Formats: sequence, structure tokens, C-alpha cells
Amino acid sequence: MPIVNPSPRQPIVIIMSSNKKYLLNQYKTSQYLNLSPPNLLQLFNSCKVFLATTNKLSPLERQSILELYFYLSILTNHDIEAKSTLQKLKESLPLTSKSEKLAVLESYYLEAIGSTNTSSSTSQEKKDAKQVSSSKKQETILKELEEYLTQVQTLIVNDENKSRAMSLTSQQAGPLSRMTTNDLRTIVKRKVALHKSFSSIDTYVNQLIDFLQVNTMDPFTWNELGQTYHKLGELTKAHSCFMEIAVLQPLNYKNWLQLADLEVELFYSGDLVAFNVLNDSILHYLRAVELCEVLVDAWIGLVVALKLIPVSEMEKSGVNSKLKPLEDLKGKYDQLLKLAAKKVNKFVELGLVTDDKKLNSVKAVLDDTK
Amino acid sequence: MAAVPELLLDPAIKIWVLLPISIVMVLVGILRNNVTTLFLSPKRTVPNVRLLKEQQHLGLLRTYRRNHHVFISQSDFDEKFDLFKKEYEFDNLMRHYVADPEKLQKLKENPNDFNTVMSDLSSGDMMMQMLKGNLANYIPQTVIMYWVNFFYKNYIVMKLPFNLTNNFKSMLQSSMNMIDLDASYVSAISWYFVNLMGLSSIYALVLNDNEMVTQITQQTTQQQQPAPPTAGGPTVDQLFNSELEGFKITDIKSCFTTIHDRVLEKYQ
Repeated sequence: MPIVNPSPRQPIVIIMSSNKKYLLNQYKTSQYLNLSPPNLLQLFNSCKVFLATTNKLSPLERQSILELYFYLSILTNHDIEAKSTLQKLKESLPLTSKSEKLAVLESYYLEAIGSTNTSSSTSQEKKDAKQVSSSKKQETILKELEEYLTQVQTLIVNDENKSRAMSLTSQQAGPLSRMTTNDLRTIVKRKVALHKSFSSIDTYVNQLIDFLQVNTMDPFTWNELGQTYHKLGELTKAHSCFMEIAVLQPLNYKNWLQLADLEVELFYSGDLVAFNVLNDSILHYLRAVELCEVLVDAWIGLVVALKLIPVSEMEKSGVNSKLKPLEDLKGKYDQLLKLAAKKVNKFVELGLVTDDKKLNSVKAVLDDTK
Repeated sequence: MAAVPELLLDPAIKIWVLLPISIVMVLVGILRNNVTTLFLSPKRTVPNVRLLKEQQHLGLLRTYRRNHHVFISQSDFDEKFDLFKKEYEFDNLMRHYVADPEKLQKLKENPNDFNTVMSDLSSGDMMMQMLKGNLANYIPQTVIMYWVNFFYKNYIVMKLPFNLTNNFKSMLQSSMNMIDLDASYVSAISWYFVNLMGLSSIYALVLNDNEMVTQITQQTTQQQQPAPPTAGGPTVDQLFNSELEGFKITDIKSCFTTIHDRVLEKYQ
């Protein structure tokens, strides 16, 4: 389930607009996941008004905005709205068809309300439920949600295989043409994601690895695995995951930033050769700022990494860079440090560094640079 | 040789023979297509997980080759190549297809047998599909042909408004054994064949759906169903090997070589 994570990197002012293009863009890019709770609520209200007042929408647009409204309802704890939206989405499909997407949405709803049979539970059952330990309750919810998703998978697969078997014109043949529950990757992915909230972190990592063995070109899952390894303190493994994203999405500047941040951490942990890892982090910060000038954190990271790099020690021990002789780099590092410090100063003046703790650290680093 | 006098055709033949054959054939064609559509599998885009895995891994190898510039040095790239080489070894790849270790060993000795394995896997169902397809085509055609033959055998249903040479007699006067009859007269059974081959424009007019018309035309002309994609072409092992070969010879051009200068130039 998407979780609202008010990141300090999010834009401060969000101009609300209830027009179609804005909402469709929110749906397409999932930018709403980075909004702060008040902004999220505002978006929810504007989406509600839009759906209530606008009739001229194509079926696809309507479905997209309804889906966005569903997610917003879940994120802002509007269960009733979420349920009614889910019902509307169901009604927009033919009665006989089973949809992977709808099953996934339903599972979000069930996860949000905490159980698949909450609505039917009596006060006595609720009292009993309170007595059950929270971990057991989580296990039950996970089991129920998995069972529900498996049920839908089985139904879709049975229907599909039946129609394929009866087909007179289908050109598919052989065991490869028979659908299995594992083929429904959207549901499989959702099942994996469930483990994030309801299982141990090790189980979650194993599930992610299993998923990536098939969907090896899914950058979102690589990112999730990288973040999870990072939480576990497995920095080298997290680094490999972020490198996979770099190959899959070379223009993803946020990934370059998190890769560089991780390399600074690796430098502190002493897992890799100090100079190489810091030099790599500088290169990756530079790539991030080259792709996005206003990536404040990348400029700050660049200042820190350039200050940390032990050039004089390297000179003494005769270690060289992978790309250029150390002599050449030394001059560049000085120039880059000045440039990065100037940029960070400008961002601080413009008020783009919002987090107080970070602002203090940045000021300390900048003072040190002077 | 004296000229054969022109035959006088009863105008009722047009109404009671010519038109019924044509109408029945059009209706049967549409009906058969609708029945077929009922049995048609819905056009889902869900690929089989094994094929998806292959596609994704091959895609990843291609992406690595295409985006080699994200690596800082050639040694980083080569390290990755060594990993891939190990991961896509013959045994690792083939165990997704052949579970039996003995068969796997045999396949290792003769990798060209892989296609045979795949065609064996799919041949049973393929035969069934072909049988069903053929039955759907042959049964209605046989029934109509029997009906035409039973009711209208040796009927002359029409005269073409132009002269034809005797070579057309076998085509237009099937089942009639009249040597002296002019070639422009058409027998009932020949009219059936003409309809069988040439109704596509009528279907286009009635159905207004080009895809469906092509489908009906293909059914009536008994085209061979294409073979499944697994029964030919390069094996998975060959595909991966060829990608790995490309990977091996890739000389990386890192985007980081001049990044210091680029950033300084851009922002200073």
C-alpha cells in the first residue's frame, strides 16, 4: 500500500487545480505520494469535486481519475469513499470479467480497513480481536489478503485456460500457452508488497528477490530491494541494486543521488577502498546535478564528499583515480567545491533547504568551507 | 458442327436456386465466424512467466550493452559480464525447461535437440488446435456441399453474359457431363465454389469489419495455421550466448570521463 512519506525534498507550494489534466498527471506520475497530509487532503477534496461536477470524460479518463480518487481516499482514511469508488470501478467492467487491477485495488481497501470481514464483525468479536496479539492479527490479515488474491488468481487463470482450450482459432499451443497463477504479475507483485507490512524484513527481501528473478527489468522493485538492504545495513548489496536502476534508467537523477549518498555511507563504514568509493560518489553527485540543477541534496552531498576526499593522503600513498591522474583532479576538485558551495548558499538563501536539522548541518559545512 | 441452340432458363431458378445458395453461404459464413468468436480466447496481454523471464533477462543484457556509459570504468563493466556469464550458463538456463538431470545432460551434449524438446512439449496441443480448426472449417462446407448436391444436382443456374473458352467448362460446369454445352452456363455446384472463393466483398459490405472479413476468408480458403514460435528459430541458449558475445566486445564510453569539465562549464 502506498504510504505518505512527507519528504523534505518535496516542493513546498502545491498549486491546486481541479482540472482534468492536473488530476490525470497526478495519476500517471504518482506525485501525490510525495505530498504532505494537508496537501493530500486538499487534492482528495479537489478530486471529489471534480468527479461530482464533470461528466464529459472518456471511459479511460474516468477510470484513471476514479483510481486516483480511490488511492487518495485510502491515504486520507476515507474508507466509505474508497469502498464506493471501488464499486464504481467494478461497475465499469463487464459482469463476467475478472480484473487483476481490481483485485489489487480491493486488496488495498481490505488492508486499509484491517481485515476482510471487519464489516460483519460483532462487538463481541471485536473484543476478542483486541485480546489477540498484534503480530498474530497481522499474520491473520496477511493470510486473508493472500487467500483473497490467490482466489482471484485461480478464477482468472481457470477462465483463461478454459477459453484457450475451447478456442478454435487460438494460435497458441503447448504447455507454454497454459496460464498459471504466477503469470499474473500484477497480483504477484501485490502479494510481495504485502510482506512489507505484515512479515519480517528477511521474508520481504526474499520475496523481492524472487520477484526480481522474473521481472528483472523492474526499477521500482530494485529500488525497494535497495532501500530494504539499506535499512538492514547491507550497504554493498544496496549499492548493487541502485546500480541496476542506473543501468535501467540512466537519466533518473534521484537514483544517482541515492547511489552517491550510499557511497558516502560506504566510505564511513570502511567497506570499500576509501578513495575509490568517495571518488565514485563525487562522480555520481556530479551526474545528478548535471541532470537536475535544483537537486539541493546532490549539491550538499557534493560539498561533503569533496571535503571528505583525502587527496593529500592519496598523493602520499600514490593511489590514482580510475579516470584521470590525481594531479589533474586536484584542481578540478577545488573548482567544483567552490561551485557547489556557491550553489548551496544560493539554495539556502532561497529557502529551499526546509529541514532545520539539515539547514544547521549545511551551514556548519559551508562555514568550514570558507 | 451445328451451333447449339441457346437454352431457355426458367426465371424461377434465379429465385429458388441461385439466390438461396448465395444467401445460405453468406449466412453460414457469418454464423461460423460468430461461433468461432464465441470460442476465441480473450485477447489478454499476459505473457507466460517463463517467456517473460527470458524476455526480461535478454532485455536486461541488451540494456546493459546500450547503457554502458553509466559505468565508470571498463573493469566495472567486465565484472558485471563475468557475473552474467555465470548466471546464464547452459545448465542454469535449461533447467527451466528440462527438469530431468539425465535429459539435461543429453541436451548439453547436443544443444540442437532443444528445438525438438520444445516441439515435443507443444505438439499434442498443437494437433488438437489444428483438429478443432479444421473441423470448424470442414463441417459447414461439407454440409452445404451435400445440400447443394442433393437438391440442385445437374442444375444450370445461370448464363454468364459473356463468352468463355471450353477450358472454363471444368470450373463452371462441375458435375455436368454435357460436352456440347456452352462454357458460359454455370452449374449449381460451380456456383457454390464461386461463392466460396469470392464472397469477401459481400462480407465486407454486410459486416463492415475488415479484420473479421479477413478471418472468414482465411477460414474458407483453408490456410495453414502458423507453427508455434517455440518450434523453430534459435534456442534460448543461443540467444543468450549471442547477447553475451555482444556484451563481451562492448567497449564502454563512460559518461563520467569528462563530467568534471561538463558540470563546471554548465554552471560556472
